[in-house]
Amino acid sequence: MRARRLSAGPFAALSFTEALYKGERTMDLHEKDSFAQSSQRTAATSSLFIWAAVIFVCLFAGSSKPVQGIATYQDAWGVGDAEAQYIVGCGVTEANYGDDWELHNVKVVTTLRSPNGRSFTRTNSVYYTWSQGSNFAARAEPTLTVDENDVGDYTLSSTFSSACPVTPLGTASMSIRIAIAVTNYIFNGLEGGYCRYDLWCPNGNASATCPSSNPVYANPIQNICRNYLHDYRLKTTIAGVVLCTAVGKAELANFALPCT
Amino acid sequence: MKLNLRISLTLVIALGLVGISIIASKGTTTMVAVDRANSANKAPVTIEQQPVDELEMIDGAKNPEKISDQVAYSLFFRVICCRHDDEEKRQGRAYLRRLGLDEMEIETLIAAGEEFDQRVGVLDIQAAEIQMRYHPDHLIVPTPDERKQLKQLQKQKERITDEMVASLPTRLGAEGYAKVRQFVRETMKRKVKMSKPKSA
Repeated sequence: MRARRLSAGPFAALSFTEALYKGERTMDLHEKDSFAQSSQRTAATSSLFIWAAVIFVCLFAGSSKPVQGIATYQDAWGVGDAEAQYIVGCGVTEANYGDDWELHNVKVVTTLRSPNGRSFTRTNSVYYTWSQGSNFAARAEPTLTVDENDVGDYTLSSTFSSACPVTPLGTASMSIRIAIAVTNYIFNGLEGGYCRYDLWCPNGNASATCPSSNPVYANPIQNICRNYLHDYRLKTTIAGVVLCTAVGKAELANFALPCT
Repeated sequence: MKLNLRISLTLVIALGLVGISIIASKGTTTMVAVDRANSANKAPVTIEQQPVDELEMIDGAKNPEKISDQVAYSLFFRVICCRHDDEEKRQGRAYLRRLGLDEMEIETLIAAGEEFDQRVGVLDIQAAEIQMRYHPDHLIVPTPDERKQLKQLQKQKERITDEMVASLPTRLGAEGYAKVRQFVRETMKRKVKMSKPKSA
């Protein structure tokens, strides 16, 4: 079989290689030499293409800008003690320094509203928050006391903006279900000098409560353990997530309360 | 061989030039700017303003993964820091108690928030000083050099945020840090929104 002259170009070398692999061809010395050179050229050309692709990709990747924008956040939680319980609403906004739209003096107005129409609005901009007088962040935290006659769905809404230049930056709204959770415990003997109380709901509604633990222990009053213990907690539900806030309020009694 | 090499080199150069030209055209901001130092002698350089006609919103409630840790933790520190009276401090502690942290962990975290505020506050002041040079009219926009300074300050702020977050496992312990991370990623991010110009 006459040795075929290799033509120039990487693909000719590849097809020749394929033929060799299939055993259809063998190489003479001249072809081996040419094949080696052709393989080297193929490798060099392939490398250049690969480097070109890498450089192209790197240029694109390197050109991506850092995330710019205004971030806003809104949340609510309970706080309290035996004297009073509160719902705290919070609106926060923060701007980047180097945005092309050059916002500064960001501002947030947050309003907390109860089912019965009580409301409290807090406005905070740079002049009212950070000690250093940040232009680029603001926080507002209105609070409302939780009245046992005013439980249910509270709403928290915030409006975010920039004061300079005046630019609206969006709004946020959320619903907070507020309840005073009452957990009833029944006396179950003395342990280590303490009155032991076990969770017991006369209405069988134990799942509605915020039990701290079960059982609970209390100091006897004038050496007497009353029949029942009532524990009160602030129960907030936001987007299906339930949080029970201890407020340090409990009482011993001779009557049971339904768990609510 | 020479022909192949020439063709390959030409392609490399062409690809590079295409890439550079695309980058140069991307996000070009053009503003009317005046070189304050030489304004008496030079005509204003006209640059196109990037229009801020509509905001693009990223809603963490729908796409929490698009809210970066940097943004979320920065907001987190802004919430827990800078409480001056007893009532504000009580509210701040109640916020953190939701995470299941004990009192010592809460105090440690508040201290971290205060440190964040002190470190970032320095950058806030520097950035504000640049912005306030054009306040209130903002007819004249910051020079390219000032813009560069603002972007560098932003990078420094992001670095501080990353450092503070990285320090939390040491400050709180693994368990305490896990609670904070879970709260920030799974609860807090869902309540964060990001706004930016659609053209950015």
